[in-house]
Amino acid sequence: MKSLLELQDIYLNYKTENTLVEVIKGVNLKINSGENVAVVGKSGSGKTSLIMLIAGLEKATSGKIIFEDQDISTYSEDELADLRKRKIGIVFQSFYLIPNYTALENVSLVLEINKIENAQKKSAELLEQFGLKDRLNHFPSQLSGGEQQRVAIARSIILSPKLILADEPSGNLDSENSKLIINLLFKYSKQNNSSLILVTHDQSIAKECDKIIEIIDGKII
Amino acid sequence: MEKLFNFQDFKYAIRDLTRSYKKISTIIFTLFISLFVLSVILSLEYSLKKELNANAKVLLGGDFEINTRNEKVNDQYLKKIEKFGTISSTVEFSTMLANSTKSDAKTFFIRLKAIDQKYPLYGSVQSFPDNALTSLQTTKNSIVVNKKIFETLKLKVNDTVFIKQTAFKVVGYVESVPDLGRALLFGDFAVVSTNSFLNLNINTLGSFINYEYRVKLNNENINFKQELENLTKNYPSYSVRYPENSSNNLKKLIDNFSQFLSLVSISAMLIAGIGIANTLISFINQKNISIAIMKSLGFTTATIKKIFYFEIFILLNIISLLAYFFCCSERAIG
Repeated sequence: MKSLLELQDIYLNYKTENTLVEVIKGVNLKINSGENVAVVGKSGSGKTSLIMLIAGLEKATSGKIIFEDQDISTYSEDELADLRKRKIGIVFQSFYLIPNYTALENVSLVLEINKIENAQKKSAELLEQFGLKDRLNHFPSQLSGGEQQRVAIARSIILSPKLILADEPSGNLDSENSKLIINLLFKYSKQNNSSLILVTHDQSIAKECDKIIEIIDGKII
Repeated sequence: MEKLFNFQDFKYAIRDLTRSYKKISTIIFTLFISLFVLSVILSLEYSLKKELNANAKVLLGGDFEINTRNEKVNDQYLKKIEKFGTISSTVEFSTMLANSTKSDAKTFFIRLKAIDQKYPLYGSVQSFPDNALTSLQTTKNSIVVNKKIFETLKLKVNDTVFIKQTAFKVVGYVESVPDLGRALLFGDFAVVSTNSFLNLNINTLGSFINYEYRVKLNNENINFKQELENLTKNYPSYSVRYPENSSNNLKKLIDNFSQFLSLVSISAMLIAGIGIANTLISFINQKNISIAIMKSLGFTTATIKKIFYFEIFILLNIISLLAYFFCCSERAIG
């Protein structure tokens, strides 16, 4: 399997007034194309920070992040934005749909900014597959939590990204919706040969992944 | 390098704006009020100046005017001027008007205007009774006062008022005179005939007396200006006024007034600006989540900024146009 992502000796520190907070402490990690990886660990252990670093939404204090053989830790903000736009899909625990965009617009936005034609049609087709045919023109506030997360997943996979980052995607959902969401993530990441990094507290979900990584106090055990 | 205008970004701005109308209503309201007031002031100033220019000859009282201070114009000069057209001479000065010669008399500081029989050359004098101006010329030592003096002193026609101890018979009151552009715009005034003025013997007191000679051209098409200026060159104390500068005082007053109002409006905008800035900050703060989501989807900071700039640009343009149209319709109704 070809390596998609490699973290080399990554550190992430925050400086407060008097103290230095070490969030990630020398993490080394390698993820192959199409591989599903579960990231587990207690709250505050650094799971979300790790996701933010991989997504390029945080800058590592030191270390290298290699994505498709490119050192993205040296990328500018615009280069990172372009990388996210084309190759990374992100799913958050709190769904984070744009509040004044409809479900359809939230999904088609990803295609539009990548200048892909028939964005609305393609998005509608995917949302229909996600069981949201009747919810296309609903705003996030008019959708249930499960529906919102399905829209968020549709948004993250519509472009068949190389990497999907899911930060506790079922954390705010009941068990039924949780199962549905996770199944969707597994199904479509496999279908598109996308790598999936899934942050979860749920051991049963983690066990379904190819690999489990446990983070304790900013370090991979 | 990103393009400055991108239709896609513009579309997102429109979409966001049309769906955030509740949040932007405060911004619209404050901006609209400020811009509306400013537009009203500017259009008021424009209308006033337009009106002044349209009535310039009436405001001057002639096609041109020669005026001097404390001396009459030279007779030879006057004869040459007579070639151009009809001359009406008036005298203006400031003095006190009293309703009696006693120590408890009520007094008014007035601008007294002495007019000849040809006055006014342009426009008309509105008086009560209608023939007050004729009576003024036919009755010795007669006077018409402005309406305010007439009412305040509870005068009746044929009552007596005093100027410099000289008694004048009130033959009516005057509501307006056409040549307002000079000094009669504000304050009280009275009108006497030139003959009555001579009886006052006032030029011996060293008062500031303006002698004004207004001319109505026999032929409006003649080019008189060069000849007039050549004639006047020999008399440096004479000044010539034309209709275009007939209402300099009035124009200056309107300018000052509109500048004052503009200043008020700009101050209001400044104060409103602080409010608007706060509202915009809170508007942006409310969009924090959207901004974060957009960043996570791959929007660059520049693109996000551009979308918000478009929103503000659209907002300001719509509000400015609204304010302008409201102002125009206000003017049309007015």
